[in-house]
Amino acid sequence: MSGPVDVSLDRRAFLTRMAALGAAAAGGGMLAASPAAAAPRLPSNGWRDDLLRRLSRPEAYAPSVRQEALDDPTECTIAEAAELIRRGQLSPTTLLEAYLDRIARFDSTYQAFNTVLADAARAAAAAASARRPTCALDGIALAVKDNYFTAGVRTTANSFIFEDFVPPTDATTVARLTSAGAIVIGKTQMGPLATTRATTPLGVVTTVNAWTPGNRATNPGGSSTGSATATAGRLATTSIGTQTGGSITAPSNAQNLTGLKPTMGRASLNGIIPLSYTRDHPGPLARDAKDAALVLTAMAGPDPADFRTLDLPPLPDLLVAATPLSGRRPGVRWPTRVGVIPDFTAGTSPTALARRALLDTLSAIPGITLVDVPLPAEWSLLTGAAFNNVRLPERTEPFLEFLRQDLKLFGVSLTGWVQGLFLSGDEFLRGQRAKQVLLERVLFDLFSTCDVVVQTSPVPFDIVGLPEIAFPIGFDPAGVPIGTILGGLPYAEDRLLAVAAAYQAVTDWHLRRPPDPVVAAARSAALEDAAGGTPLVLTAEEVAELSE
Amino acid sequence: MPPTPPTDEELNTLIRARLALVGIDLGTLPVSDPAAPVDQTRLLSSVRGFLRGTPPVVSAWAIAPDPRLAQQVAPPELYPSITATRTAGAPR
Repeated sequence: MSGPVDVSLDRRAFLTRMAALGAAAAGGGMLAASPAAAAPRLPSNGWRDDLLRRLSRPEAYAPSVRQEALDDPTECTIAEAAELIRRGQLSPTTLLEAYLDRIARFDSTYQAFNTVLADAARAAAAAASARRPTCALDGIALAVKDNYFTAGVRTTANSFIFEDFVPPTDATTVARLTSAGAIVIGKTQMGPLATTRATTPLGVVTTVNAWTPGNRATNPGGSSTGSATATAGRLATTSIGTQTGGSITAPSNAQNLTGLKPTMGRASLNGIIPLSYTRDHPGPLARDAKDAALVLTAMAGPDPADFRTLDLPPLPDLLVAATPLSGRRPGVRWPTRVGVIPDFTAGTSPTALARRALLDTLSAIPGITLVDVPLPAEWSLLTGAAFNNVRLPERTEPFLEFLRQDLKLFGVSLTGWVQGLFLSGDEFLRGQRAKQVLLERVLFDLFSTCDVVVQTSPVPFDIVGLPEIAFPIGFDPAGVPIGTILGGLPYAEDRLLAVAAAYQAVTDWHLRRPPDPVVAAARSAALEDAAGGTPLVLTAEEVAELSE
Repeated sequence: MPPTPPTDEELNTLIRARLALVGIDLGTLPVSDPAAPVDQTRLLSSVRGFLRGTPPVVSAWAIAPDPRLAQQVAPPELYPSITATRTAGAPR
């Protein structure tokens, strides 16, 4: 007779968390940085060796480096910079100094950064320059959205609540990236508490779109605004952000970047200030599909501190996925049916025209087939405003103590946090049942005849935690980028990367960079709104409407 | 016969009571100040709009035509993508 099936849980992680929270309580809420507390508890089963192996594959490096990148290292993609570093033609110090120079010259206009970590970054770059590179990310300058914990470095979420908060540990995803040699160059501006485009907590617009630095009215996308502007404006090689209702895909589309929002659980949320527990997703805003694959490869993986990441399909080789087939059999890596939803190309707007061109280009890629797909039943209802609002109690709950202290702490973002108090428990539960119904219809109806599907909004797949990739597909007559979003099946980031990479192999939108801002003229213009004369400010009503 | 929809004042009473019950002081905001990011007047208006627009829609959604059978369908799921993947190979 066999014995009882007793489940053995991991006690060490529990004890570590309780000790950290107890220390915070004893210290009056201030978490002092200490070396012992600096590192999150990452798996101890050789994950770093595996990570470095993945990031050292031939596919991690550019097969050739563009002349623009040879002439100016800030033009490099990660893969190009890694190749030059590997060849000994570029040092991490030279690369970093080039970015710091651009930050000194242009960030007063771009306003991409909250905090620039010049000294620490220089020290890290010097160390990286003195050693043989460990992998493709070693020595690469990384901009980090200011809702990711960074040990010993102010992490504000662009809010009054966190304005003096210095976390004692790195977020797990930051620790993974820096363990692969990425150098954090700074913390980026964001929508306050991850709501809208970047503004001050009182709603004054700050970060501009790198493509129109003289016009603050051009939406740079949010809430990962500074991350997008830093990458697009060549103030860093790449950046990371978070998405709850479009905050990676929207700024990526607005600024000609490739943004990848992975499936829920693919990357740890440990050490990231929450907006919605069930909808927050960390991910890269990068220059192309290969760079997005490199960054997500580093970020992704099981984390004992975040159960959402455990017991999931192993991470596939995203670098191979992001390498299109070439030579005798060019095309997408795996035969892929791209679903086209109704009205995707409707109208005569520049976006509609760009979408038509996108579909024409995709259909000409060997291995890609376009398929018209209907939207599932009750799509507008289950992805509309009311069911989207079911997320609001998730932002209220972790911030109750601050709501009790002083409502003014939330600045112009307050209304969403208060609205979350007014959904009853039964309504919240019905919303969670609706998510299950929506996912079933997406998986079994929407994906019954396609492998990926074009999207006109990131919200539906954010609600159910499915992956999305955003990539550039053109420009409007004013020179503002136009992008699209593709959604995929659970944990199918490889499929999404493969399609984006195949598209980028036959187009060059992603290679274009905005001109440098004309600093004096841009600065004075940036201070004026469309009417001229006063700063651009979002009202509380606008924030509530636009909020993630 | 459906109940009479609540008035603005009735909703304001609900809002004030709910905030007070959980220890939130509406008085930390100015009553009415257009220069402030948010004031009590605008916050109450926003929450009234939420109350009229969201709970009724969510609450009214029918998972299945017969509520006795609807009870058996779609248990609440915080992370549907994760659960669907973890259970994809589960024996039936």
